[in-house]
Amino acid sequence: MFNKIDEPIEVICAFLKNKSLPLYFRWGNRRYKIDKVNLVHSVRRGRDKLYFYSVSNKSNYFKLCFDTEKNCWTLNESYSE
Amino acid sequence: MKKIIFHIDMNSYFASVEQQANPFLRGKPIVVGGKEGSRSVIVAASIEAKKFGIKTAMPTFEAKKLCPNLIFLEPDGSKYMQTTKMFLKIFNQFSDKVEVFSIDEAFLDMTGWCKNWQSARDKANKIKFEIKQQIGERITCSIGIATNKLLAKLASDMQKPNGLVVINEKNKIQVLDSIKLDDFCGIGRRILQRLENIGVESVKKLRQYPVEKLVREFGPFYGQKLKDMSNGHDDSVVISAEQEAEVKSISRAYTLPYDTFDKQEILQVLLHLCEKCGRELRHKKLAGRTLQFFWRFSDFTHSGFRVTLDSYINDSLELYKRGLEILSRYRLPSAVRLIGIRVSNLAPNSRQIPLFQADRQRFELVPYLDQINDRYGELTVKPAHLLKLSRLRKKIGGFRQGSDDFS
Repeated sequence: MFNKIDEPIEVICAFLKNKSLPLYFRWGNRRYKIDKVNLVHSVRRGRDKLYFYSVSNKSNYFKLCFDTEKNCWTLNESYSE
Repeated sequence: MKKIIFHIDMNSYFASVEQQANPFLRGKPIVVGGKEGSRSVIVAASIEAKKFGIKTAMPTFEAKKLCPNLIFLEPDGSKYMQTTKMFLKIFNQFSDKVEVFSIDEAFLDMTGWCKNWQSARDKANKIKFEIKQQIGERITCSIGIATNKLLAKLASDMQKPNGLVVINEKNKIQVLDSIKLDDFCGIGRRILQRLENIGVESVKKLRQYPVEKLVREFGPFYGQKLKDMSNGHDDSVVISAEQEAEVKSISRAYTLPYDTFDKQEILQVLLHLCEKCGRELRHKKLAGRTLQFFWRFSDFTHSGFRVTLDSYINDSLELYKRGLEILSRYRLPSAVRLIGIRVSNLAPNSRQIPLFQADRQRFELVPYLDQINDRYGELTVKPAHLLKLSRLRKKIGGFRQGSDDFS
């Protein structure tokens, strides 16, 4: 089931040679481990560039957003069965 | 030397991208295209949904009847556009001539890049591998290989999903005789009906039908083209983005969430569309002289007005004023479902500075408004009439400078 969230989160991210991979994030009081980054896409809003990471672990899918202008992360949506 | 052309068609594209993003949707019947119960239609169905008979352009309620467990997803244009850019980047590593045919298909001229048919097959498999490696395991494509675009497209349609079909001189006639006339790209329902009316019901019969009679029925261009199709001939070339013809027109259209007679509402949407059209014209440094305003009614009939001006324009407000003039004089015969604007007869923007002060102010203001919207996002500064349009705004696809929007 899909849930629209749009809440700020804290993220631990690895910056590799030419890509970045979110590894963990904290939402509320829980820490979530990211097992896989399935797809990354970006959108421009004016001069701002937003990166969307579609990620998953064993039981959940999450869509995370990194706003390069505001330098902050948000959790946009989740899906679990 | 014979040409070697690839046609690459991504399978159930939008649905596959969604399944790539969210692994919990894999193996499930999903569709992209508006909310469940809305009056929108299916834009794309997953391979699993297609097994229930769900097709593109089917109304959502009909799809739900066929598959009660169907999962509905709203389209995410930027996600699909980004994925398209990724696979085009892969294609460009294999050929210098890549023609983008649509958001999910492309032609590659592989002549000179493959020694023979076996080498072409190997290259096709390598492309499939690279797509899986660089984009994701869920993104698959069907590749058709032939000596021209017509046959390559036919070949890619023959095996789905994840197909690889070669049509060469050896199997060409056998393949052509096994397909239906409307399997050809370019033969639609009307042409098919006209062909049936003259007794041509198969590709074989079309091949045997005298070309003079086809020319008499369909005209010199299309009559000859039909004959060539039946023989598997096509001399059109793969046109890469750099060689693409210049823009001939710019248009924007929007389907309302409900049919309406309310002219104020229609004008608000028209203003929004003019704003988007004007922005694209200015971004491309173009101006247009011929404006066409069109609308589709609830019964799917359509109407429109076309006007050619004395001078070239690209100011959104000027475009809107012309539309307003036309629409205020026009009595709507039934509720409006879709509104659109097309600007053609384009030329490089070389407008003179207006003579009168009021016009000059607007002329000088527009570039600054564009800069603000480029910087802070679409419609940051907008006409006051659009303040109440936020409900519709999200649904109107359109141009945004530097964005990944594609509609």
